[in-house]
Amino acid sequence: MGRINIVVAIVFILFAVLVLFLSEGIPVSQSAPLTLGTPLFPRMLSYGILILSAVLIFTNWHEARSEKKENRQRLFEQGQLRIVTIGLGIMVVGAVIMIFLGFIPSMLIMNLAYLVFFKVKSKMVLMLEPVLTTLLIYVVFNYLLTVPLPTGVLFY
Amino acid sequence: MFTNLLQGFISVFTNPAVFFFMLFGVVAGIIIGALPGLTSTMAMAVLLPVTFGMPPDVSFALLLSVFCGAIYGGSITAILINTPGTPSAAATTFDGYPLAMKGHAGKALATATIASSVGGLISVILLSTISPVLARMALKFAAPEYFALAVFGLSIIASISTRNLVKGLLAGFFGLIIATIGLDPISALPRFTFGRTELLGGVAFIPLMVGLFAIPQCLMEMESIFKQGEKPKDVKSELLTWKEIRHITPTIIKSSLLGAFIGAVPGAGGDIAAFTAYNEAKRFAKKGEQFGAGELKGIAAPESANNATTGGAMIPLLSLAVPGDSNTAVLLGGLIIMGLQPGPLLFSKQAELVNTIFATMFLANIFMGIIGLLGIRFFIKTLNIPKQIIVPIVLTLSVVGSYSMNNSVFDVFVTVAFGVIGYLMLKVDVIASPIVLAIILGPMAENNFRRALVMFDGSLSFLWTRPITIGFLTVAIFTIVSTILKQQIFKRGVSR
Repeated sequence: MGRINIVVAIVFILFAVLVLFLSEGIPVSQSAPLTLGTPLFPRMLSYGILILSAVLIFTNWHEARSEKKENRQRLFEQGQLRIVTIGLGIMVVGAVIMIFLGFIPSMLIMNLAYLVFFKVKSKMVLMLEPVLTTLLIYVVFNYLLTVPLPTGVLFY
Repeated sequence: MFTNLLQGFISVFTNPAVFFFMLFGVVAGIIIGALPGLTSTMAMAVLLPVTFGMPPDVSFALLLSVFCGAIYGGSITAILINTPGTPSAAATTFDGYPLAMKGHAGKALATATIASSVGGLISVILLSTISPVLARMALKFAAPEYFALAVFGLSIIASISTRNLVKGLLAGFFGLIIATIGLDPISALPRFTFGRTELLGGVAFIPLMVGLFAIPQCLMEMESIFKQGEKPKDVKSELLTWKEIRHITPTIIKSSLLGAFIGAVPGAGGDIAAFTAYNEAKRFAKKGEQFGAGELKGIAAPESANNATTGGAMIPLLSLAVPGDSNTAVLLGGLIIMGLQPGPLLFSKQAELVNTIFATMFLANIFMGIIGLLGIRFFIKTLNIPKQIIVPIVLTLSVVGSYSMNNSVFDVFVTVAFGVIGYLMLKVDVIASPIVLAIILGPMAENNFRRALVMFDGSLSFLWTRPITIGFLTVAIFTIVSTILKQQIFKRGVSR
């Protein structure tokens, strides 16, 4: 875990540097001397992250150096990254087409895409799951809880 | 007190409408609470217009039952699919989900149900007995006390980061920075909004929570779907034994009292109460109790505390007309619409209604317990549904849940973004709960620290001159130091 922890620390350092850079653009109010100013809190937190990341690197340095190549922990097993990317991709595509097609068609497509991706063979499941899930959620949210779900810009 | 409660019971049982709407409210509340993205406040706000034509006792029976049921309902999905239905159930995932994964979902749900029910009952008893005293105490809280309470809450990050304290603290700091996105509440100047109006109010909490909890879990399930030879889990529907009930009883009582007190503090809701109670239960853990790995007390503490805030939040509302949280703000609206003025005079002028409110909350918590225990067999059936079917359902609910908070597709993308962050954090063994805790408490800490500075003309003397502030800060320091010492002792033990 030593090497992974060092990578984690580096990612957090990059994040803190980014926050420090972006905080330069935050406007400062007139009441700044008394209320510490708008950018101060995020800056203080960024310095905190830099210190903690340094501690994480320091405490894992020895372990990371002594880790043998064959013992190094891998973040992703073979094929995992592809599975996760496709899984997330389907969700993102579902959300994007929801803007155009509305809730019902987009969620029908999203659910069906997941079932196909998971290699579900049963035709019954392929037909019923997307329809039942989408319609049940739509009825509960739209009618019972009066939460308006997107209707889409194409059919509106 | 008991005469008042008895009068309330009589009016509930002699009015079938009150009784019916109370039962309906409990069931509706449980369902709404279990749906990620729908909060008790939202449910009450949706139902408020429905109550306009109802008599006050019937309308309050409905609203209060929804309130109690929804707080409990959040625990069901927190335990079964690691997705807290409401923010106050976030702490329940720490031990609820691991216990469910060990095949003891029945025990986990029974613990949550009993703890929620008892927590609610204790808070109602407190509400009907010592509400004026507690309300006066809670109103002594000004900016310095709120800041200290937030710091105390944030100190919990140390105790929940058992595997690696530094990584837990890093996650907490990351969450605190995310919490600064939006308009600065003191100067109203934008921070990290990148010109997006959606970010002016900050990162919405529900999409973030759904992203950090539900999406990574679904991605991990996807990985296991494609793994060969993965066996389905054996899920038991067994409930708690008497020994286990005795084991969790002291935790439930302590957490309920803590939850009722935190609920009475305006602005501190069920989420803060749940995290605080979890931390306290963990701090006083006995040898062999493995918090974070399916410990029953780890479910009992947050669940009793968050439901105890229901009665606690009613204390300042009824006795001083000060809403303790967003739920009671909706109730205050309801009271005013009905032409009633909460405050000390309510107890003398509308004694019958006040008694009915106490009795309704009392009975709603009992029925919630009964319905919850009866429903466990049905709830755990979700764990037997094949992953190939449950994953699309959870992801659809995640999309709807994150969208429905602000009716914004932008929030769905926020969910996806935090889903990726949560998944990567899971891979590198950084826990996500400090982020949630930091986002709840970060704005409270920053705003009140800066307000306190204004109150004290830029001096930091409020940190050592106000007794309640000193008390909270001392406990916070003690929590952090004791966690570090415990971890050091544990490490030495392991290396030996």
